[in-house]
Amino acid sequence: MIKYCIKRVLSIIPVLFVISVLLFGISKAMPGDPVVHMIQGVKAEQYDQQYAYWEERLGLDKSLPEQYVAWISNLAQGELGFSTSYNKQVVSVIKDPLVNTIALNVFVLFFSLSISIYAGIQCAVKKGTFVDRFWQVFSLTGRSVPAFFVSMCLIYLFAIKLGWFPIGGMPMQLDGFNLLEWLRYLVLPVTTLTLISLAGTIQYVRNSMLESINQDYIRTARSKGLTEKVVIYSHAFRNALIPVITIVISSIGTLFTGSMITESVFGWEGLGTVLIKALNSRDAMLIIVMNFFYAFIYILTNFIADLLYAVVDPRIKLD
Amino acid sequence: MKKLFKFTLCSLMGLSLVACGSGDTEARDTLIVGTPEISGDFMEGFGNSSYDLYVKNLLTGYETYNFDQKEEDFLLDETAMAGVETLTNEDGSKTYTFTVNEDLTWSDGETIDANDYAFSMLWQAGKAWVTAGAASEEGDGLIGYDAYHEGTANAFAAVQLIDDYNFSLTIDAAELPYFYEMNYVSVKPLPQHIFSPESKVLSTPEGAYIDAADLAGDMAVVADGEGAFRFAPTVSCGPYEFVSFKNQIVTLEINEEYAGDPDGDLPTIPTVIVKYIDQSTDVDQLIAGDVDIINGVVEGDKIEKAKKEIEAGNLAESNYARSGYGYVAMANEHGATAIKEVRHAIAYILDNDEIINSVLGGYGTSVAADYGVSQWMYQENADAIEELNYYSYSIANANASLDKTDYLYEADGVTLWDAEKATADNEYYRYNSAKEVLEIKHFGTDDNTVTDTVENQFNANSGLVGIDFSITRGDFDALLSAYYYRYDDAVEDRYHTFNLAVGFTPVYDPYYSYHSDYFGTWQNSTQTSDPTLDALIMDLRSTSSTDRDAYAAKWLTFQQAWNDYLPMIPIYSNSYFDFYNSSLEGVDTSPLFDWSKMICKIKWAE
Repeated sequence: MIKYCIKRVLSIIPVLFVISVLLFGISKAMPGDPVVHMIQGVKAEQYDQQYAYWEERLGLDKSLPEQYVAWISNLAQGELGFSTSYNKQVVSVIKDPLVNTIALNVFVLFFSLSISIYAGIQCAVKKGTFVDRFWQVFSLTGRSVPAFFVSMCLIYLFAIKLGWFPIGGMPMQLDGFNLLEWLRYLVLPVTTLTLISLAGTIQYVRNSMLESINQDYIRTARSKGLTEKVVIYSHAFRNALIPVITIVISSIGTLFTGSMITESVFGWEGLGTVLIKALNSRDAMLIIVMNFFYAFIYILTNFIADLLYAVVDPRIKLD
Repeated sequence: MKKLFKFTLCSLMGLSLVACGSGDTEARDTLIVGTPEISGDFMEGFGNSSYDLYVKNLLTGYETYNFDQKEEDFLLDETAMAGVETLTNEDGSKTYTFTVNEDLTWSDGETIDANDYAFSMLWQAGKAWVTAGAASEEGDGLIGYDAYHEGTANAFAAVQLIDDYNFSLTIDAAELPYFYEMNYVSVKPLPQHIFSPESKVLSTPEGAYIDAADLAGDMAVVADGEGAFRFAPTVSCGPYEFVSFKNQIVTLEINEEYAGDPDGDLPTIPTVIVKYIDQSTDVDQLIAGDVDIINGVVEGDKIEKAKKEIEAGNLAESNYARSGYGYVAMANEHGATAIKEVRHAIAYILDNDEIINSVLGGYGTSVAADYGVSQWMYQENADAIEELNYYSYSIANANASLDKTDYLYEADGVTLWDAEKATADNEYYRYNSAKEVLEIKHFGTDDNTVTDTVENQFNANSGLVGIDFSITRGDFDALLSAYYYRYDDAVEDRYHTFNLAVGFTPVYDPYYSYHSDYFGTWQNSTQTSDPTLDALIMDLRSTSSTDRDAYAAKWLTFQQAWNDYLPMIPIYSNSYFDFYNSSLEGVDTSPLFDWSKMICKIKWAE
């Protein structure tokens, strides 16, 4: 196990290196000049002076390989670089939005996993009944409808027509942290993201459970006189867990990644909104760091999923 | 598992119910303003967001000269200044000696005196401030500016700190006369006790300078790093103090030490919140009561929606003509658009009225030259301006203009081009005698209804006058590079036309935009170079600051010449609508006075 972990960790390093080179190269190949964006409006007499200052400060006057080496060295020391669109250090830019994204996604993760696992099991157990058909139609609809459409429908109904929730934005904290105020602003984006993510996961759990339910050992368990509850949750579900774990672990990864469209529609100041702004303003360092972070999270969650497979299924050996 | 499911559903419902019930708790001691962007740079010299400017306006004040909304002129801020004396020196330079009122204080209770004004000028005009990453024009036009700004002189010759409450600034003779000369000596104080507490402003016969152990280090602290003053100002001399900026929400509280705006008015609303809202739903958010003010609405459908609420008594509005206009800019230095008659022809094939109707829902007016219909110069010359050529849509006039150029032939460069053969899409183009096609390459931004309409009109009409039209779309950064920096050797793809918009400040000085002195810089963005315009510009700007009639007359002459030269095609001047909660009073906004500049006049109805 330890040997396996060491091997996996070591194998992550070249993957991250390749990703870093690709991200750096792609962001540098994007058209537009971030310094031009930063200093637009500066008087012609001061323009060259300002341009030279920022070009030197951002290290853009160096060759691309030199820029890469400088960036990766700084990154290794915990310095994420300078955001040209926010005019401040990247770490300052993403600190609060990261918290906001996590706050949003914790609710989404909780609701979507709870509902989808239960509904997926029920669909499998009651295959062909109204319950199964309802969730099948729900899944199909959920996967077909884009997130922004769901968002706009919810905004129209619950914010504009009924006025129950704010249309968008972030909660104001005039007298310190106010949980209810946060919840008011969270309900609609959480509902949107939950509905969208439910669609896929229900189907996944259902299929996995169906496969498990049709196995011989389930028939044996039933013939032994075990209750249906024990058969389903202790025998069938346990064996259906491996594919489900993949979803659960990858969902944990999404805790840290923003949903660009939903966050933008609701004006939620999360990582997705920040990434859109970074892309629109050619903020290379912010784009690289955020995507590198996402890639890292993805690799890490995959690694954790592999470890958990061995925990839930003794047949899997990690060598 | 069933229990977990029930718990999940119950918590979802509970969350909704609890959240539903917690709204509408804001008391009327807060003003919430919605804005489509906040980047978080709250100090002048940093950032170029016009939305951050709202917060900057709330945090600063006591400028020596202010542009007055009613008089439409630069007037001494008598709340801040006890008086000013002017003296024309033997060398033609002009010295303004200001006396600062003795009862001014920063929000932390520290006194504001002449030292803070002199310090402000020296701090912002110096080279070290640029090195700290700031862009400032403070001091430009004063004697000795170049030497001080470049760092070749230690002292700024124009600045003298006379005593605790008197300081002087001297305008360079080379800049005089200048109609907007007061703008050269308009300066706000900066908090020396915060920025560089150990420093002193010292006056010598050669000028004044900041005597500090590590001025560059002091500036770096203000300009850079987590918690720097520019991101979180700790003191204010404006009507409000900065409290926080988090999650795109700026919270400000009233500055109890504030002595008043130039009229002596004080703010009455204890807390002002400026928060980001999505522009597509701004009117809905105002109607829902999530915000109290939104400004600069131009879309016809949103205006109509808000007007219904106004009729119901829920909202109120302030509308005004934009101080600026939307235009199709042209590259005056290369390609076919370097020829005046080609520029005229392009103007003739664009139907401004159609653009105003389809894009602005009719809430706009046509413009014929480089002005906004809200400018006082326009108001004084409105009848004469109406006589200018508006280049109303006419294929015949467009062809007549092109017939005055060398683009008279078919592809062989010999056979005369025949307007009768031309259709919108038969690719029957005009060529010149060198067999060069009459080509117009347009660049417009994505997701822009003006670009859509301009493209449609070019597509429908360019073929009828023999123009080979093509369009490229990109984001705003790509437009900046393609338009402002096309003269750069590194730029490979050169376009001829672009659609953008411009807004005027109180200082209307076409010198930077159209004079050949700025040819080859981004500021003269059309790359205009015309001796007639150059002469008229210099004549206009050298009008005495007290002679408004002469300035208005020269302005008209310049507009007439501009209208003929046509460096760009003005398309529309929008009507701007500021919508606000009907319980607010005093929201008498205008193009140069948004809500933040008149915050001391705005209050909740009792």
